[in-house]
Amino acid sequence: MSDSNDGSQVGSVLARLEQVRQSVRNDTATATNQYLRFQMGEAHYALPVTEVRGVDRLYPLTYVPGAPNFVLGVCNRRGVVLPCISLSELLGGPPTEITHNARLVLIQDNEAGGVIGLLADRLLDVVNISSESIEQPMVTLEQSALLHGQSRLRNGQMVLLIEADQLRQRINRRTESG
Amino acid sequence: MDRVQVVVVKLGQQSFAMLLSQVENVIAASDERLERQSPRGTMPLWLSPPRLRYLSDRLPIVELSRKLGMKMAMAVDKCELVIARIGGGVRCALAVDQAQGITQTELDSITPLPRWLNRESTTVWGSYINSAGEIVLLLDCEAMFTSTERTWLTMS
Repeated sequence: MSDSNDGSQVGSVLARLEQVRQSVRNDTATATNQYLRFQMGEAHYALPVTEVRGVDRLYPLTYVPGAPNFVLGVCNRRGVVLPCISLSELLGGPPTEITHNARLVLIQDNEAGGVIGLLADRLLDVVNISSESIEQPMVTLEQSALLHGQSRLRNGQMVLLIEADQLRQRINRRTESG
Repeated sequence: MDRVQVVVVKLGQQSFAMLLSQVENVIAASDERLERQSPRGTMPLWLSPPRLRYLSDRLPIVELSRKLGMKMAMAVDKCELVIARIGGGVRCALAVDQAQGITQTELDSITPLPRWLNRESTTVWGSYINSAGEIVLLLDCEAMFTSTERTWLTMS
Protein backbone atom coordinates (compact mmCIF):
# COMPACT_ATOMS: atom_id res chain seq x y z
CA MET A 1 0.00 0.00 0.00
CA SER A 2 1.41 3.36 -0.94
CA ASP A 3 1.73 6.28 1.46
CA SER A 4 -0.73 8.38 -0.52
CA ASN A 5 -3.34 5.64 -0.40
CA ASP A 6 -2.72 5.20 3.27
CA GLY A 7 -3.02 8.95 3.79
CA SER A 8 -6.38 9.11 2.03
CA GLN A 9 -7.58 6.09 4.00
CA VAL A 10 -6.65 7.80 7.23
CA GLY A 11 -8.36 10.94 5.98
CA SER A 12 -11.56 9.06 5.28
CA VAL A 13 -11.42 7.36 8.69
CA LEU A 14 -10.94 10.74 10.34
CA ALA A 15 -13.84 12.24 8.38
CA ARG A 16 -16.03 9.30 9.32
CA LEU A 17 -14.92 9.57 12.95
CA GLU A 18 -15.86 13.24 13.07
CA GLN A 19 -19.22 12.43 11.40
CA VAL A 20 -19.93 9.78 13.99
CA ARG A 21 -18.90 11.98 16.89
CA GLN A 22 -21.25 14.65 15.54
CA SER A 23 -24.09 12.15 15.38
CA VAL A 24 -23.24 10.99 18.89
CA ARG A 25 -23.56 14.53 20.11
CA ASN A 26 -26.97 14.71 18.43
CA ASP A 27 -28.18 11.36 19.59
CA THR A 28 -26.47 9.84 22.59
CA ALA A 29 -28.61 6.72 22.24
CA THR A 30 -26.40 5.52 19.40
CA ALA A 31 -23.13 6.21 21.24
CA THR A 32 -22.42 2.71 22.40
CA ASN A 33 -22.74 1.31 18.89
CA GLN A 34 -19.97 3.30 17.22
CA TYR A 35 -16.42 1.98 17.37
CA LEU A 36 -13.09 2.94 15.87
CA ARG A 37 -11.54 -0.29 14.61
CA PHE A 38 -7.81 -0.83 14.35
CA GLN A 39 -5.37 -3.66 13.97
CA MET A 40 -2.78 -4.85 16.48
CA GLY A 41 -0.77 -7.80 15.26
CA GLU A 42 -3.23 -10.28 13.78
CA ALA A 43 -6.19 -9.15 15.87
CA HIS A 44 -8.68 -6.37 15.31
CA TYR A 45 -9.62 -4.18 18.25
CA ALA A 46 -12.14 -1.40 18.62
CA LEU A 47 -12.69 1.51 20.98
CA PRO A 48 -15.95 3.42 21.39
CA VAL A 49 -15.65 6.59 19.32
CA THR A 50 -16.82 8.59 22.31
CA GLU A 51 -13.52 7.67 23.98
CA VAL A 52 -11.35 8.65 21.03
CA ARG A 53 -9.98 12.20 21.05
CA GLY A 54 -8.40 11.78 17.63
CA VAL A 55 -5.89 9.82 15.65
CA ASP A 56 -2.48 10.92 14.49
CA ARG A 57 0.69 9.66 12.92
CA LEU A 58 3.54 8.57 15.13
CA TYR A 59 6.12 11.27 15.79
CA PRO A 60 9.75 10.52 16.71
CA LEU A 61 9.78 8.88 20.10
CA THR A 62 11.91 9.88 23.07
CA TYR A 63 12.80 7.04 25.44
CA VAL A 64 11.86 7.67 29.07
CA PRO A 65 14.22 6.04 31.59
CA GLY A 66 12.41 4.14 34.32
CA ALA A 67 9.09 4.01 32.48
CA PRO A 68 7.05 0.77 32.50
CA ASN A 69 7.77 -1.57 29.59
CA PHE A 70 4.48 -0.81 27.84
CA VAL A 71 5.46 2.86 27.52
CA LEU A 72 7.06 3.41 24.13
CA GLY A 73 8.19 6.88 25.06
CA VAL A 74 7.02 10.43 24.67
CA CYS A 75 6.70 12.43 21.49
CA ASN A 76 6.34 16.05 20.51
CA ARG A 77 2.82 16.33 19.13
CA ARG A 78 2.18 19.90 18.06
CA GLY A 79 4.27 21.30 20.89
CA VAL A 80 2.78 19.06 23.55
CA VAL A 81 4.64 16.15 25.16
CA LEU A 82 2.47 13.10 24.48
CA PRO A 83 3.07 9.75 26.24
CA CYS A 84 2.75 6.82 23.82
CA ILE A 85 1.73 3.36 24.92
CA SER A 86 2.10 -0.03 23.30
CA LEU A 87 -1.34 -1.55 23.57
CA SER A 88 0.14 -4.89 22.58
CA GLU A 89 2.49 -4.94 25.58
CA LEU A 90 -0.21 -3.62 27.88
CA LEU A 91 -2.25 -6.66 26.86
CA GLY A 92 0.68 -8.94 27.61
CA GLY A 93 1.59 -9.37 23.95
CA PRO A 94 4.88 -9.02 22.10
CA PRO A 95 6.74 -5.71 21.74
CA THR A 96 5.24 -3.45 19.12
CA GLU A 97 6.89 -3.39 15.73
CA ILE A 98 6.56 0.11 14.37
CA THR A 99 5.76 0.32 10.67
CA HIS A 100 4.84 3.24 8.41
CA ASN A 101 1.17 2.28 8.80
CA ALA A 102 1.32 2.69 12.58
CA ARG A 103 -0.97 5.36 14.01
CA LEU A 104 -1.71 6.78 17.42
CA VAL A 105 -5.22 6.50 18.80
CA LEU A 106 -5.59 9.34 21.29
CA ILE A 107 -7.65 8.89 24.41
CA GLN A 108 -8.26 11.14 27.39
CA ASP A 109 -6.85 10.02 30.72
CA ASN A 110 -7.08 12.73 33.33
CA GLU A 111 -5.47 10.57 35.99
CA ALA A 112 -2.52 10.00 33.70
CA GLY A 113 -2.15 13.71 33.07
CA GLY A 114 -4.18 14.35 29.92
CA VAL A 115 -4.21 12.75 26.51
CA ILE A 116 -2.24 9.58 25.83
CA GLY A 117 -1.53 7.85 22.55
CA LEU A 118 -2.14 4.15 21.97
CA LEU A 119 -0.06 2.74 19.18
CA ALA A 120 -2.06 0.77 16.61
CA ASP A 121 -0.41 -1.13 13.76
CA ARG A 122 -3.06 0.11 11.35
CA LEU A 123 -6.30 2.05 11.48
CA LEU A 124 -9.19 0.30 9.81
CA ASP A 125 -12.55 2.02 9.97
CA VAL A 126 -15.48 3.08 12.10
CA VAL A 127 -18.03 0.31 12.53
CA ASN A 128 -21.51 0.00 13.96
CA ILE A 129 -21.83 -2.79 16.50
CA SER A 130 -25.14 -3.60 18.08
CA SER A 131 -25.11 -4.55 21.73
CA GLU A 132 -26.92 -7.83 20.92
CA SER A 133 -23.97 -8.99 18.80
CA ILE A 134 -21.47 -8.66 21.64
CA GLU A 135 -20.31 -11.96 23.11
CA GLN A 136 -17.89 -12.93 25.84
CA PRO A 137 -14.34 -12.58 24.46
CA MET A 138 -12.27 -15.73 23.88
CA VAL A 139 -8.96 -14.33 25.06
CA THR A 140 -6.40 -14.70 27.81
CA LEU A 141 -7.26 -13.71 31.36
CA GLU A 142 -4.90 -10.71 31.14
CA GLN A 143 -6.67 -9.47 28.03
CA SER A 144 -10.17 -10.25 29.21
CA ALA A 145 -10.01 -7.63 31.96
CA LEU A 146 -9.53 -4.95 29.31
CA LEU A 147 -12.25 -6.15 26.98
CA HIS A 148 -15.95 -5.95 27.35
CA GLY A 149 -16.62 -8.41 24.59
CA GLN A 150 -16.12 -9.48 21.03
CA SER A 151 -18.31 -9.14 18.01
CA ARG A 152 -18.36 -10.69 14.57
CA LEU A 153 -18.81 -8.19 11.76
CA ARG A 154 -20.89 -8.79 8.64
CA ASN A 155 -17.76 -9.73 6.70
CA GLY A 156 -17.06 -12.45 9.26
CA GLN A 157 -14.16 -10.70 10.94
CA MET A 158 -13.95 -10.80 14.71
CA VAL A 159 -13.31 -7.59 16.58
CA LEU A 160 -12.34 -7.31 20.24
CA LEU A 161 -14.00 -4.42 22.04
CA ILE A 162 -11.82 -2.51 24.47
CA GLU A 163 -13.22 -1.18 27.72
CA ALA A 164 -11.63 2.27 27.93
CA ASP A 165 -12.07 2.69 31.69
CA GLN A 166 -10.40 -0.65 32.33
CA LEU A 167 -7.59 0.36 29.99
CA ARG A 168 -7.00 3.55 31.95
CA GLN A 169 -7.08 1.65 35.23
CA ARG A 170 -4.59 -0.88 33.87
CA ILE A 171 -2.19 1.90 32.87
CA ASN A 172 -2.34 3.50 36.30
CA ARG A 173 -2.34 0.22 38.22
CA ARG A 174 0.60 -1.17 36.26
CA THR A 175 2.61 1.91 36.97
CA GLU A 176 1.69 1.89 40.64
CA SER A 177 2.88 -1.67 41.00
CA GLY A 178 5.93 -0.92 38.86
CA MET B 1 10.13 35.46 33.32
CA ASP B 2 11.84 32.82 35.52
CA ARG B 3 14.47 30.78 33.78
CA VAL B 4 16.55 27.80 34.71
CA GLN B 5 20.06 27.10 33.47
CA VAL B 6 20.78 23.58 32.30
CA VAL B 7 23.66 21.62 30.80
CA VAL B 8 22.49 19.74 27.71
CA VAL B 9 24.07 16.41 26.81
CA LYS B 10 23.51 13.84 24.10
CA LEU B 11 23.24 10.08 24.54
CA GLY B 12 22.94 8.61 21.10
CA GLN B 13 20.33 10.69 19.32
CA GLN B 14 18.55 11.70 22.49
CA SER B 15 19.03 14.90 24.49
CA PHE B 16 19.05 15.17 28.25
CA ALA B 17 19.63 18.17 30.49
CA MET B 18 20.86 18.59 34.05
CA LEU B 19 20.54 21.59 36.28
CA LEU B 20 23.65 23.72 36.08
CA SER B 21 23.66 23.87 39.86
CA GLN B 22 24.25 20.10 39.93
CA VAL B 23 27.16 20.28 37.48
CA GLU B 24 30.65 21.29 38.53
CA ASN B 25 32.51 20.93 35.27
CA VAL B 26 32.54 19.28 31.85
CA ILE B 27 35.76 17.80 30.54
CA ALA B 28 36.83 15.57 27.70
CA ALA B 29 38.04 12.12 28.65
CA SER B 30 41.63 11.45 27.71
CA ASP B 31 44.10 8.70 28.54
CA GLU B 32 46.17 10.88 30.83
CA ARG B 33 43.09 11.74 32.88
CA LEU B 34 41.95 8.15 33.26
CA GLU B 35 43.37 5.87 35.88
CA ARG B 36 42.99 2.26 34.78
CA GLN B 37 42.17 -0.35 37.36
CA SER B 38 41.14 -3.96 37.19
CA PRO B 39 37.38 -4.42 36.95
CA ARG B 40 35.82 -6.00 40.00
CA GLY B 41 33.25 -8.75 39.77
CA THR B 42 30.81 -6.89 41.96
CA MET B 43 30.76 -3.69 39.93
CA PRO B 44 27.43 -2.67 38.46
CA LEU B 45 27.40 -2.48 34.66
CA TRP B 46 26.96 1.28 34.67
CA LEU B 47 30.16 1.86 36.63
CA SER B 48 33.12 2.13 34.33
CA PRO B 49 36.40 0.49 35.44
CA PRO B 50 38.65 3.55 34.97
CA ARG B 51 38.50 6.43 37.42
CA LEU B 52 38.96 10.04 36.54
CA ARG B 53 41.88 12.03 37.87
CA TYR B 54 40.21 15.32 38.65
CA LEU B 55 42.01 18.00 40.64
CA SER B 56 43.24 16.13 43.70
CA ASP B 57 40.52 13.45 43.56
CA ARG B 58 39.87 10.23 41.73
CA LEU B 59 36.22 10.23 40.73
CA PRO B 60 34.18 7.18 39.74
CA ILE B 61 32.94 7.26 36.15
CA VAL B 62 29.31 6.35 35.53
CA GLU B 63 28.13 5.42 32.04
CA LEU B 64 24.99 7.53 31.95
CA SER B 65 23.33 5.58 29.14
CA ARG B 66 23.58 2.33 31.08
CA LYS B 67 22.52 4.00 34.32
CA LEU B 68 19.38 5.17 32.52
CA GLY B 69 18.73 1.69 31.17
CA MET B 70 19.49 2.58 27.56
CA LYS B 71 21.85 -0.39 27.22
CA MET B 72 24.31 1.49 25.02
CA ALA B 73 27.91 0.56 25.64
CA MET B 74 30.20 3.60 25.64
CA ALA B 75 33.90 3.95 24.99
CA VAL B 76 34.68 5.97 28.07
CA ASP B 77 37.96 7.31 26.73
CA LYS B 78 36.10 8.89 23.80
CA CYS B 79 33.32 10.41 25.89
CA GLU B 80 32.82 13.73 27.50
CA LEU B 81 32.56 13.68 31.25
CA VAL B 82 30.14 15.75 33.27
CA ILE B 83 31.34 16.21 36.83
CA ALA B 84 28.07 16.02 38.71
CA ARG B 85 27.15 16.66 42.32
CA ILE B 86 25.01 13.70 43.26
CA GLY B 87 24.16 14.65 46.81
CA GLY B 88 25.70 14.03 50.20
CA GLY B 89 28.85 15.84 49.12
CA VAL B 90 29.56 13.09 46.57
CA ARG B 91 30.69 13.79 43.02
CA CYS B 92 31.05 11.49 40.06
CA ALA B 93 31.83 11.78 36.36
CA LEU B 94 28.89 11.02 34.10
CA ALA B 95 30.09 9.74 30.72
CA VAL B 96 28.03 11.15 27.84
CA ASP B 97 28.42 11.03 24.07
CA GLN B 98 28.47 14.78 23.76
CA ALA B 99 28.07 17.77 26.03
CA GLN B 100 26.27 20.35 23.95
CA GLY B 101 26.58 23.28 26.30
CA ILE B 102 24.69 25.43 28.74
CA THR B 103 21.30 26.79 27.85
CA GLN B 104 18.49 28.59 29.58
CA THR B 105 14.93 27.47 29.47
CA GLU B 106 11.87 29.21 30.80
CA LEU B 107 10.17 27.52 33.72
CA ASP B 108 6.86 27.88 31.92
CA SER B 109 8.11 25.74 29.07
CA ILE B 110 8.98 22.82 31.33
CA THR B 111 6.40 20.04 31.50
CA PRO B 112 6.60 17.87 34.60
CA LEU B 113 6.56 14.24 33.58
CA PRO B 114 3.28 12.57 34.56
CA ARG B 115 3.80 10.66 37.80
CA TRP B 116 2.55 7.42 36.26
CA LEU B 117 5.34 7.52 33.68
CA ASN B 118 8.18 7.37 36.15
CA ARG B 119 6.71 6.09 39.35
CA GLU B 120 9.74 3.90 39.94
CA SER B 121 12.19 6.74 39.93
CA THR B 122 12.31 10.51 39.94
CA THR B 123 15.51 10.65 37.90
CA VAL B 124 13.56 12.28 35.07
CA TRP B 125 11.58 15.09 36.60
CA GLY B 126 10.42 16.97 33.56
CA SER B 127 10.87 17.78 29.92
CA TYR B 128 10.89 20.65 27.50
CA ILE B 129 10.85 20.97 23.75
CA ASN B 130 13.90 22.67 22.28
CA SER B 131 14.05 24.95 19.26
CA ALA B 132 14.64 21.94 16.99
CA GLY B 133 11.39 20.38 18.21
CA GLU B 134 13.18 17.63 20.16
CA ILE B 135 12.04 16.60 23.60
CA VAL B 136 14.78 17.17 26.17
CA LEU B 137 14.38 15.15 29.37
CA LEU B 138 15.49 16.85 32.57
CA LEU B 139 17.56 14.69 34.90
CA ASP B 140 17.93 15.11 38.64
CA CYS B 141 21.51 14.03 39.37
CA GLU B 142 20.74 13.59 43.06
CA ALA B 143 17.72 11.34 42.46
CA MET B 144 19.70 9.23 39.99
CA PHE B 145 21.47 7.33 42.75
CA THR B 146 20.12 5.61 45.81
CA SER B 147 21.92 6.24 49.08
CA THR B 148 23.37 2.73 48.81
CA GLU B 149 24.72 3.43 45.33
CA ARG B 150 26.15 6.72 46.52
CA THR B 151 27.97 4.97 49.35
CA TRP B 152 29.13 2.34 46.90
CA LEU B 153 30.54 5.02 44.59
CA THR B 154 32.54 6.63 47.37
CA MET B 155 33.99 3.27 48.41
CA SER B 156 34.69 1.74 44.99
